[in-house]
Amino acid sequence: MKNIITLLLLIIIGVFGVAYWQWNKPRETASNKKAEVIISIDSLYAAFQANDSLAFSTYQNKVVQISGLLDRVEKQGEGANQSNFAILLSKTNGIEAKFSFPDTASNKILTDLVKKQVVLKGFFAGFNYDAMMPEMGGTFEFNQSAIIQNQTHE
Amino acid sequence: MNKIILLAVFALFATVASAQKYMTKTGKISFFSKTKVEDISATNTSISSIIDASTGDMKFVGLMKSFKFPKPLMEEHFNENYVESDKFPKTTFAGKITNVSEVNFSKDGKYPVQVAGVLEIHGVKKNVESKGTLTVKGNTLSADAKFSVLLSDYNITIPTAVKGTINNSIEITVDVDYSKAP
Repeated sequence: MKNIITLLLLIIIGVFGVAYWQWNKPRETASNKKAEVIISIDSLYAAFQANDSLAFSTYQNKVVQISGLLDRVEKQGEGANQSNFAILLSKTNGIEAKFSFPDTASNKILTDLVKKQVVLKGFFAGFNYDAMMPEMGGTFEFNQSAIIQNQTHE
Repeated sequence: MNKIILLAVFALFATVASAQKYMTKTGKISFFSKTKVEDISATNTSISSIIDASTGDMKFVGLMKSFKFPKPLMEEHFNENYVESDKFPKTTFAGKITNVSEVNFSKDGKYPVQVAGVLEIHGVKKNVESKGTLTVKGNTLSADAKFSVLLSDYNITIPTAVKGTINNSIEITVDVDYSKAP
């Protein structure tokens, strides 16, 4: 009887432990993932122009690596709600790639890299574009991104 | 001579019309739902939006995967089980400020507005209406609105295991700052 109670207690603690870990598990970032796709913004744009649904299904959720000139760094929100973004411009007017970073430390590093060549990678979230608003251009969005300072570190 | 005047007038109107658009790529849309277990909230700060001051037409577009939740697990469930972001990656709103004539875009101030249009979430389009505020300040414009939608209207199914704990109604907050289009 005592053994059964101990076993039940262990099972309950185990279930709650797993649930607690799941609930509080950290976000998966691209920093410790190898890039599955290495592409330029213009090639990505060409793929979406040719067939956007095919291109989305090809790249969605993949870690995509892009190099380019860092145009600007944006910080939105404050405290726990702060989001940090790095924006690379395409050669095509109005088309850009926006990488969101999970930490404020990256924001500081990126600020020093503005107007310099950078290599970034992140989980592909999609192409924010609407044919009814062509003047808005389009933005490729990447989540949980990471800076690759030197490609030999890959 | 008449043709030249006509052309000049047309060119002037075209210039005025293009100068009356306001745009942003950093609009903020959040949603909130009170549940018995834990409140659910998420924010997307990468909404693209455009307002045409001359017609009152407005449009928003954003990626579902750019909604950030406080807990990664919530974000995972939202994208995989609720809005199926891999199948329906975008949310859009196309509508009109129905009382745009009451807004003076060249005079600083707060203007109450009524907006009506079509909101698309999860591949489902529904008519929505909301009251909001437009704030004109120099060359910038801010739009604020708050309205509720029902998950069931957008064929978003609440899994049976959490059916009693998650509210079918979610509150959407729009907080967008625009700049005048170049």
